[in-house]
Amino acid sequence: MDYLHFSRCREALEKRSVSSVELTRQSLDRACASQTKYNPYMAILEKRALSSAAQADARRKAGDRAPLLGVPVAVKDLILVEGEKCTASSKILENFVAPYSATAVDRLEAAGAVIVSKTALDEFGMGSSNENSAFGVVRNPLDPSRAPGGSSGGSAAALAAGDVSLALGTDTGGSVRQPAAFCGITGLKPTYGRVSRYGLMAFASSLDQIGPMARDAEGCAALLEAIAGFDIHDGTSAQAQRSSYLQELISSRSLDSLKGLRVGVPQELDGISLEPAVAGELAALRAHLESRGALVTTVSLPHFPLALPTYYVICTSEASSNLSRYNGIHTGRGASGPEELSIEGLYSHARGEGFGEEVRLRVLLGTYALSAGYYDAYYKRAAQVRRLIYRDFAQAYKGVDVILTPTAPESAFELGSRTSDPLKMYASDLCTLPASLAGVPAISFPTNFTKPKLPVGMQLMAPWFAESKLLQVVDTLQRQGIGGVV
Amino acid sequence: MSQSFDISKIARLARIELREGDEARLKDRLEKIIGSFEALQGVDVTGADPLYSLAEQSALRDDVPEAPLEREKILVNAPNSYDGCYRVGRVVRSE
Repeated sequence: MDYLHFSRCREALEKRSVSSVELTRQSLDRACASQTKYNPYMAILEKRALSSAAQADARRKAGDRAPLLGVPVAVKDLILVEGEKCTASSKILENFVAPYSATAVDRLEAAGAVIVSKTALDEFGMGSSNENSAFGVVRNPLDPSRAPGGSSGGSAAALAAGDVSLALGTDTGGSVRQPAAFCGITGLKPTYGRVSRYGLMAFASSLDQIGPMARDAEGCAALLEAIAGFDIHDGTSAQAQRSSYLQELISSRSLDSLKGLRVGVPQELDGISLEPAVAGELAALRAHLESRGALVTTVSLPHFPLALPTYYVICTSEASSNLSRYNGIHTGRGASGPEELSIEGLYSHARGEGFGEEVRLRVLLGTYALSAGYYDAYYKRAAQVRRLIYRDFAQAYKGVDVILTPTAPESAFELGSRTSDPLKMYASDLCTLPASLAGVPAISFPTNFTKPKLPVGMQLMAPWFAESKLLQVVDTLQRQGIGGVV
Repeated sequence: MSQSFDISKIARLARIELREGDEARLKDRLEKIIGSFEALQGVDVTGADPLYSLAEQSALRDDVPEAPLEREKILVNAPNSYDGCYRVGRVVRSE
C-alpha cells in the first residue's frame, strides 16, 4: 500500500492501520534513498520529523482528527523552519539558520503535519531546471537524465519519488507549476496574497507565492486549507475569507463540476511552438472536456506574448532590491577578513563570491533596469504592460470560468540542454508567467490521453481567489482517471 | 538603449565583484536579455497606470510593540560578531 499518497495515507492514519511514526520512518528512509539518486534535498530533518510524528500520534490518540495530522510534508528550502538551516540553495546562505518559522510552516505544524525535509531549488527561486544551485543539480525521478523543472524541482522530485505525501513549493513565474508538470504531479499557485509570504525569502515580492504540491488535487486542497488566510505579518496578505478547500472539494463530488463549465483557450497559444506531445494532450483534454459537457471556446489575452519581457524586467528589478540584504555582514560565509576590505569591498566580495551565475545575472539586470535614465523605459513600462495583462484576464473572465493552456510548451528537457542560452531557458515559463503577473490562481495537473513518454502538464487558471473552482475541476478529472490518478 | 550598457558600472552599483572571465560572458548574456526587453517599447500603454503591487491595500498592523527576535538567534548567522554586535572593518579611515 502506498501510504505516501495523501488520501490513502490519511485514511490509514485515521483507521490507525499505520502510525505517524511508522509513516514518517518510511518517508525518511525513502528520502535517504532518493537523495543518492536524484539529490532533491537540502536537508532531511530526521529528529524533528520523528518528534513531530510522535506528537501527532499522541494528538490522534486524544481524539484529534485534523486532516494533516501525522502526514509527512516536504518544504522548499526558501521557506523558514525555525532552528533549521535555510540555504535558498545558495552558497551565500549555506550556514544560515532560520531564527523563526514562516507563517505557512507554523500553520502546517499547528495542523499536525510532519515536516520531514527541506527541498532543493534553483538558487533563490531563479531558474526552471534546478541546475542553478550551489549544491548540485536535482534529477527527475521519472528520467534521471532530465530536469525536474524549477525552481521547486526538489519538492516535485520528492513527490514523484514517492518520498512524501505533500510538499510546499514557491511560485514567482511558474516555479510550482512547471516542475509539477515535469514530474507528473499536481501543483497550485494560489492567488497573490492568499498565502502569507512571512518567512519566505523574497525573490520578487509582487509575484512570490507559496503553493501546495501533491499527487492530486485533493492533496493540494488539504495543504492549501492549512496554510491559506490573512496574516498580520505580511503587508500584502489578502483579507479575503479562505475557504474550506478540502471539504468543499469532497462535497463537490456529488455534483458534476464539468457540465456547463465555461473553458477559454487563449488564441495567443497559436504563436507558441508546442512540443507535439503537449499539443496532443491539449487537444485531447479539450475534446474530453467537451464530451463531459464543458463549453470550450477561444478567448483572447492580447498581451500574453509580452508576459516574458514584462516578467523579467519586474522580477529582476525586485530581486536586485530584495537581495541587497545579503551582504556578508548579517549573513554570509565570512570568506575574507573584514580588516582588509572597505565595507563596500566586503559587500561586493561576499556577493560576487556567494551568488551563483544566474543570481548575479539577474541582480545586474535589475540594477540596470532601475538605474537612473532607464527606470521609466524598463521598470515603469513593464509595470504598465502588466496592467494591460491584468485587464486582459479581467476581460476574459467575463465570458469564461477558467482559462486552459499547457503548463509548459514542452515536457522535461535533458539536463544541460538549456544552460547556455538564458532566453531558451526562460521560454519554458511562457505559459505560466501571465497568471503570475495578473495574480490569478493557476493549477498544473498531469494528463496522459496520448500516453506521452514523459509527463505532460496542463494548466487551468481561474479568477482571483477562485482556488476552489480549480481544485474541484481537477479533482473531477482525476477521479475520471485523467493523468493516471484515481 | 542597450548600446550604453556598461557592465562594470552596473556591477559597482549592484555591489557585485565580477569574477575573472565574468565580464565578457555576463555582458553577452545580459545584452541578449535586454534586447528581448525592446518588445515592450512598442506597446501602447496610454491609460495604463503601472501595476506595481497586487495587494488590496497595505495591511499595516496596529502600532503596538511586540517582542523582537532574540539577538543571539540573529547574530548566530553573522560571519563576524563581537559582544552582541556585528563586527565589520574600519569604516572611517584616518588620514
